[in-house]
Amino acid sequence: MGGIEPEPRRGFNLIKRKALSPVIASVILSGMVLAIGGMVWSYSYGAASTMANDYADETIDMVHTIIERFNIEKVYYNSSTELVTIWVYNYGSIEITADTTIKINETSYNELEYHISSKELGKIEIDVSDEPILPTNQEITIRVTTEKSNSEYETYYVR
Amino acid sequence: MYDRKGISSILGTLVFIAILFSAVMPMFLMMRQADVYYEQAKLDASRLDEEKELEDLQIYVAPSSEDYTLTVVNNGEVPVTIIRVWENAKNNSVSTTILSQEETELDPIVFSHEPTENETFEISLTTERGNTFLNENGIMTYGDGQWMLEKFYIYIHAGGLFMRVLVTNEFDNITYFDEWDTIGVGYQVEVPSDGTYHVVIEKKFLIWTTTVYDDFVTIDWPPDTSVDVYPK
Repeated sequence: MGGIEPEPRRGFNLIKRKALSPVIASVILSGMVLAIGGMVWSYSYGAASTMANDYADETIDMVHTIIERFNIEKVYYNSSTELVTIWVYNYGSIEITADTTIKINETSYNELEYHISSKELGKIEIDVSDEPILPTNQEITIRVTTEKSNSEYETYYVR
Repeated sequence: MYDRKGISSILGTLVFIAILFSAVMPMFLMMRQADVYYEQAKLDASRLDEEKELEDLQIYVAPSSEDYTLTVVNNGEVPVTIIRVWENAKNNSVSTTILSQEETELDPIVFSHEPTENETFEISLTTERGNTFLNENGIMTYGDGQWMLEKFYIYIHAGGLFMRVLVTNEFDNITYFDEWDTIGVGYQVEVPSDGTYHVVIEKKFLIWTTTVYDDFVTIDWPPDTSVDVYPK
């Protein structure tokens, strides 16, 4: 059994294995393409979703601004309680949040963040006891502004 | 391999388009949906405003010592739902719908308190669309056990070409209304008090004038605050 060992048949092995690296390369390439594609898709989808949601939120906000409907239905000054009562009717389809300001002789009084549901009459009472008893025909200007920046004005003369 | 060159470019393009469509198209669809919602809301709001503008009510009040009755005439083009009646700063909830060009009498409403001497009452009502209408008879004043109103009316149901309508006081000939119209259709003449008035209606054709009505009418207050004139 002595003598020269036969040389390993490298050429044969190489020939046998030569299709493996293109497959692995293709798999790796495919994996990379899929991963990068997935990342691009994920980023694009996320960005598009965010943009779409922001757009929808802004649209809903704009819709709420244009569909708010309310008016100052009645104003009354009660000299015994020294309260100015303002009735605000929300005849729109959504709740409003109103800031009410009245002005008597350059002095302003506020009632902030008063919520009025749809189709409801809000009764806003403002204490003006810092003023002397208001005389007949005293002018009171009223401004009601909602958080959507819609405003209504009214001028009331004390009776 | 020679036959397949260029396939990867096509596939790549298809994948890119697929990514574009699956990621961006939902955004465009959602934005489009939001635009439709906005336009719809704008349309609804403007329709509500238009309907509000079209509301036209006339309210006549008939007070007694304990309560008052309101007669509401809908002269507008839309049905109106009354939701509140105001008596000065007190309000009563009601719910009555009046169709266009119809008239209804609301159930008597009890005064919030017993009227005192020289006390004034302002009666108005609010509609569902947010309009407030003051009664046609003005502010009511209670005195000497009876009610005084600011305004009374004579309704003249006459129409035609070249018409003259003249309303004067029975006694001192004060003229409350004197109007020549090329085309006249119905008149609402406001007079300051109840009592008897002289109504004359004339029609003119070239140089000829014809009197179609010449009579005295009486507003019998209470309970009437108006009188109707129907020329033959």
